[in-house]
Amino acid sequence: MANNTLLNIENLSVEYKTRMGWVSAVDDVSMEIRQGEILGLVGESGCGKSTLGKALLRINPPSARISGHLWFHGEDLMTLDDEAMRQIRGQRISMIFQDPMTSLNPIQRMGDHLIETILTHEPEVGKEEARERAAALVDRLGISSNRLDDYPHQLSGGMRQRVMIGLALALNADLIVADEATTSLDVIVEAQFVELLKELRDEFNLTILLITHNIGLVAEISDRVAVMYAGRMAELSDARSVFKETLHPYTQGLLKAVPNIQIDDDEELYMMGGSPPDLVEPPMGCRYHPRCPKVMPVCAAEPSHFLESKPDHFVNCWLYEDIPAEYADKELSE
Amino acid sequence: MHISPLTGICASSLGVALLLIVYAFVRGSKGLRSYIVTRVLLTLPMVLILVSVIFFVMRVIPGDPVTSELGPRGTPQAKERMREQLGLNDPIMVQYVKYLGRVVRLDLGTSLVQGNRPIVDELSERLPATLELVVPAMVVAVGFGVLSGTFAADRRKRPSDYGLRLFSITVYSMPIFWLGLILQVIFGVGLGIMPVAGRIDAIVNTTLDRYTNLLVVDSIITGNWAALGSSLHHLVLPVLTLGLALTGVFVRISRINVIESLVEDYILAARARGIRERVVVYRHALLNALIPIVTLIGLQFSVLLAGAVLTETTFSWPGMGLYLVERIGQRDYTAVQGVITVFAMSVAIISLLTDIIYAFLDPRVRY
Repeated sequence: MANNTLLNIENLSVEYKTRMGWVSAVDDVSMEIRQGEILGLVGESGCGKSTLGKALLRINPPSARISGHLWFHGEDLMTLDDEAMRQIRGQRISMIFQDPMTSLNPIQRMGDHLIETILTHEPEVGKEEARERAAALVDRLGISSNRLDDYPHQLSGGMRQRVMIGLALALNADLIVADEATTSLDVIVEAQFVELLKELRDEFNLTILLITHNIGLVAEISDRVAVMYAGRMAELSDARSVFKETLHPYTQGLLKAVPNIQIDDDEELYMMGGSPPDLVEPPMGCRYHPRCPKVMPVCAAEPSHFLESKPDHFVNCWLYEDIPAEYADKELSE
Repeated sequence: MHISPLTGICASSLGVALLLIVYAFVRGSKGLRSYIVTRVLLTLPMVLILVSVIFFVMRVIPGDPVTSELGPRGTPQAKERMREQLGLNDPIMVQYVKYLGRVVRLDLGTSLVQGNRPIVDELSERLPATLELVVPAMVVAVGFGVLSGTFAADRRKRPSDYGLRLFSITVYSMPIFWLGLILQVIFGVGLGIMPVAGRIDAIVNTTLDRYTNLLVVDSIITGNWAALGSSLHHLVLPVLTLGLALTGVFVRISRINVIESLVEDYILAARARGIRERVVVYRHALLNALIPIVTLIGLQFSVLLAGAVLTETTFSWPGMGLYLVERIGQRDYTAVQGVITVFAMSVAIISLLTDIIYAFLDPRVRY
């Protein structure tokens, strides 16, 4: 564990109860989020990345069963009671949500969202002062402060997303979880959003966990990249290593599947075979093995481990791990 | 100048309505203002239609006020004389225009029985009694219903939720008069702690000077605490009966709307900002859920008046409902027409107010 770790996630698992049984949405994930970095967390829809993000604030639905440890400033968030956890939310760890239209209360004025958040965590601040702070904040985000009294529906999509950022910044949180924060924005607004996020990171020394399925965005902005597949961590390293010296077969497939506008007309876009597994009954062994082009006998039998195969480059794949002797000579059946 | 309590109450309730409308008009946006103007203007044809329907329906339904008033004793000459006197021989359109003219001046004609008293004077005694019953009943129904519905939504699928749901469906399905009778049997007859009829103790009544005929208001302004105690004591069971009967639908509608609000993204976002759970439920979720509830209050107002007829009959409460029942029995058509006109106008005004409150509450309504 590096000494600039802000949040250390240890063996985090999240399961949801459904009619079909328990769904293992996040399975035994361990990783650290470092002070001042933008960590991109990518994966397909349903791979558990949003569940992981929500678990950091413990705001998963009540039907979820969470286990593991979240070490944050020397204490384990998992052991905090509801009131102590509530004080962490918004103040120490905050979140930017996917859809800024539905994530703002439609009958609450934009300024009141900010003022309420400030006053909840800093009750000693007066109403006037909270309003001034809210005005300064939206002003910094490029929204005229005379729009504080506007309702969410009166703001444009980009403005709403900036208000969401403002809410996350209102109390100088140490960690911001941005959950698919750009998905509902068009490309122009998205580019502005990314620019703004970078600026704010430098200005306020933010640490951001950027959850997205947009690999281009991650490549653009992230310091490190984590790739998730079917609830497990597949690969984690600095952005350059993940994109240029890709280790995990899933990451390799994912990168080949990204559409590129400059690609030759006759070159077809790579399509990964199969589909993500059913997480009620995930495949034995490595969860990617049914789709993996490099599958080995051991993959179907035993799960691999998330290990540091190169300096600061973690991967979860038998290709980079010593295979137990009993599988070494076996042929792949099926 | 003598101002009858009916005129006074009509004027003051219109005044309150006007104040609310002006407040919304001043505080509201440009869109809201033009909406208010349109909505107020639309109320006029609505009232006209209501009043016209009452007029024509009263003349279409079987029965004849003259025959029922004079009875078998009436000679053809006497009947003819009475028809002439009541204007019933005029062409129907002439009668209609005359009737409209009288309604505008709040003149509802004179009773056909009981010494031909003006209906306005009779209603002056009756309307305050009904108001004193329905206003607290509505407050009980809405206040208790909305809060316990929200509580049930917050405790969804826990015992208190099941308990409240059972309670709401029980009171909702109970006939009002039966509920009233049960309460009378338990608290009036069994325990003997509650009066079961009337608005005030007869002896105390002689000490009370009446100004508005709202007994609670009159006893407060004259400082007659014995009368205040007695009238509040008499109010408990009728208000409880009518309030409970109406509360069921508010529990259920609040519960379901708050449950729907609680799964919205902005609720999760508010929790993620560390907003207290109580604030999340009772401010963010409930205020969003209130919008359909306000509409329901407007719609339930007519149910409230119908319930008032039953409650007043059960508790011998001398209000408009009991009056209506009595006069239907006596075929006093002008009285029946007058009561229904007042009911219809109040429903029109309440629906105007709820529409404006709705628009005021929900900034997204863009008319």
